[in-house]
Amino acid sequence: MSISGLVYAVRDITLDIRKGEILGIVGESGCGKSMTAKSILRLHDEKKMEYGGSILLDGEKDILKMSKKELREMRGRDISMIFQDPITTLNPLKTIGKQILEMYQLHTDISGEEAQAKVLELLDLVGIVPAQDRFRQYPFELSGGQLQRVCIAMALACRPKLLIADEPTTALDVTMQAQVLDLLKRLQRKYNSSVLLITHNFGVVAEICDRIAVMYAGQIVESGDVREIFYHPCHPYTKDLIASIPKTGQHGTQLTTIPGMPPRLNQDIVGCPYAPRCTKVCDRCRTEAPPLKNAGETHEYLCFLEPDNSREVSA
Amino acid sequence: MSKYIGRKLLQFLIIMVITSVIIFIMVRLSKTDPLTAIVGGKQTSAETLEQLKIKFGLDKTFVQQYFSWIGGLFRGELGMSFKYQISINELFADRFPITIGLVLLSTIIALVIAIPSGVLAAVKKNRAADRIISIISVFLAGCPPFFMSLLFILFIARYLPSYQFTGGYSNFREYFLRILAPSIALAFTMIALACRITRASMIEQLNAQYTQTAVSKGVTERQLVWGHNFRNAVIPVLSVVSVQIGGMIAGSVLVENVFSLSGLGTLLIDSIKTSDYVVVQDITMLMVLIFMVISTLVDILYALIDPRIRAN
Amino acid sequence: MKKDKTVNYGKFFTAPVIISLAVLIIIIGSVIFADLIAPYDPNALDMKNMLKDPSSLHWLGTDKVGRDIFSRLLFGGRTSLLSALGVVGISVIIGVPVGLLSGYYGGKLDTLLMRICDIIVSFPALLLAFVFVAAFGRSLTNAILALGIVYIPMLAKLTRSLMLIEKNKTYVEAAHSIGYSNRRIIFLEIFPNCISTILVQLTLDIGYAVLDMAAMSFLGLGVQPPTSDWGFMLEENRAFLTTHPLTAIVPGLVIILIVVALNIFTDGVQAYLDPSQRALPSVTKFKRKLGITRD
Repeated sequence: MSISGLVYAVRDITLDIRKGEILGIVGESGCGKSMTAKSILRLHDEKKMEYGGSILLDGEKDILKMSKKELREMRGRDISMIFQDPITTLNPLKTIGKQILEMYQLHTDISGEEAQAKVLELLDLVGIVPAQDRFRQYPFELSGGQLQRVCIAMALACRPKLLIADEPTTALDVTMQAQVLDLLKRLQRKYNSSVLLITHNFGVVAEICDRIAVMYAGQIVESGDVREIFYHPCHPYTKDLIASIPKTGQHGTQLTTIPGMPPRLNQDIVGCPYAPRCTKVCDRCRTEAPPLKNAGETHEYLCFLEPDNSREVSA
Repeated sequence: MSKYIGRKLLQFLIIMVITSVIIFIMVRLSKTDPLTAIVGGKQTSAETLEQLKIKFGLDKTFVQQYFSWIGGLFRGELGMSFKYQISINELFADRFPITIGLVLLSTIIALVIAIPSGVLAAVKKNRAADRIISIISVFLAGCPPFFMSLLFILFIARYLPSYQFTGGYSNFREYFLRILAPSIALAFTMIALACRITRASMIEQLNAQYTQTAVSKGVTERQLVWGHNFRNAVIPVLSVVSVQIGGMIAGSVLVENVFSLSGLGTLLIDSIKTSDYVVVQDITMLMVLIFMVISTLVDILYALIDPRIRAN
Repeated sequence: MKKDKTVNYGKFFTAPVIISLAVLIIIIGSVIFADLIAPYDPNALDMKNMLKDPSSLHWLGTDKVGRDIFSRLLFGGRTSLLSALGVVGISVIIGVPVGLLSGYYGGKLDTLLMRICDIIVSFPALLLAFVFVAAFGRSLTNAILALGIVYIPMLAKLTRSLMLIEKNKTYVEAAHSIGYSNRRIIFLEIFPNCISTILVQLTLDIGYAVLDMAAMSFLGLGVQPPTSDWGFMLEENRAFLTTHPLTAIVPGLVIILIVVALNIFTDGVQAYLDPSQRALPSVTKFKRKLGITRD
């Protein structure tokens, strides 16, 4: 499956997600990660937003050209989504069982009893037990972590080709985060789904992703295999992000931060958007858009710096 | 759940007791002596006055009178009218259906119109349909029911001279025709208020995160609006409607008056003007009772709709 | 901050707000200057000119005893608007302090005051006013008092809810830490922050009070002759509805006009005051139009 599109807030993005892989999109808040994710399902209000380019499902069907009906059938069945805050994500007035059941009612022809059995099985699988009792509970009776498990179960109910997870652990306690990520990875392997994981947390990416795309100001500034990016980052922004991960066992050292703010989406950008904050900035960066360079077979980045002299500061 | 209902019923009882005391005291505070109202200006001997006092229970103390009134209500005996000198049950027999019919029919009319148009306005927010609905509802909110009634009568007189809207009724068809026009006139305010609150509440739900989840699951617009959003949006609508039913009960007094319908409302105003105390007490009590029953039912309905209220 | 203000200022005076404001100014102005504007004594009988159609002499015609309807409308409006102000005034004088104290102190005082409000609210709206007038006699003063009482709980509950939001804010904590008295905190620190919302509600309430006073007078429970207001004019002239519809329709239309104008006006104020109701895209569009961009 390949996704490439152009949105006002998101510029010239080309993303490929292969079958069965987990692709992480990393970046600060407000850099267009969620925009990109929601665009794939066309969740934006189309009266206010315009899409450009193409989003190809299975490399052939363009989501942006789908009719309303096709779109509806695709949502949830081929591509489904998990959102950031599990507490507001579910309908407060419907039992969690019914909300998962709705997936089967929308996308399959199986009977009510069969569907119910499947829901119970799913609840069991994501560790919401005893499933029989939980089926009849309302969202307010479950904790945030449990609700996110329910959301994962719901999103995977129809075994979608792609699961988009938009900051799935941000709203959770630290202890819950690892468990939820674990569950996500386990189920992804089991169903052989592709996952697009959106996060601002490099640690999360390192834990479960196969590939990373680093996003800044609506652009992908660097992408590649997770190990490549982690050990040989080429773009200064990626380096700064990795440097700002708090390290354990280093008491007393100051946390590294990136000074300044990412540009606003409606701002006109000349040259490299990261230039005002970059430590390796040169005159060209302020006037000329940086080129896309290769630093390996799958490793691409958007900067004037050569891969060799930028590799000197590997983490 | 049963605990919640129990609490609501208890509240209901307490309020009914207190309001009955307030109504009784207020009505009896009046400067007009009940005997004068009974006699109605005729020359009467002291002996007859004494007899009348006993007949209407006015010889008893204030507190005794209250309890005999309340006791009577529980037995279904509403007492005697000073003016008509007949049992109030008899007075109410023909009038009660008019008033209750007015309130119910206008509520139904209002909801059938207001809720779909409120939902439509919310779904089509800022588009032509929304603008038109919003403008109409602003105007309807400012239309006093008694004036709408006058316009209705004018309209009927001009264009539907065969439609007879006053007088008694002998079958259901006549009854329905008598209350139809006044009910429509009475419904306007509620249409306006219910429509506006439905729109506001639906817009809030349409912007909620769970709505996006539902869309990402692949629901149709209809499934989304009626299956997910509406239930969430309906609680504020219910609370406005239940308060507004109170407005309609009072409004029925006005509308009956304009349409010269002999319902409880016309009788109430009549009795206020002639100091027919027991009738005033009874009608007020009955109207508060209807209103409180509806409020309590709506409270219970909240709990049926929202599991979070049930749990608390 | 200042820049935002200029933008909002532009947004506040939208077409509906300007029109409703103009309507309000015209109605209120002509009612205030009724003595100067009215061509006739509103109560002067003129049996030779009964139920005349509108003419250059009588712009809106005359009623059943030859009184000039236009003049009566102006003077009746005075009664209507003043009594509506009275109703709202009573509800403010009692309702606002009740709400402030109830919300600030909470506990038993809150329970007691709110239960009293519940009792008032348990009467279907105008019904309590009917009974009140039945008890204390039919007069304009009693009708105003009665409606004032009916309006208290709404305002008290609104003020209370505002207080509950405000009292947990940091500036209140700061005021406590400086050692301000409760009274000072309630009335000088918190109350000013509630005023704008309360004022919006009051503007709406005046409209509803005009409606309700008209209803009371229409039933003969409000103004007593020879005084008149819009509601009573409706009542006086309804008998001639089919033959001389204008006599009854005009006062009704004026009532609708003022209530609708107040509604639209408050809608505009509300959208101006409540940032959440502001449509952000149009603000930025507006900024671009004005050439205002952030530095």
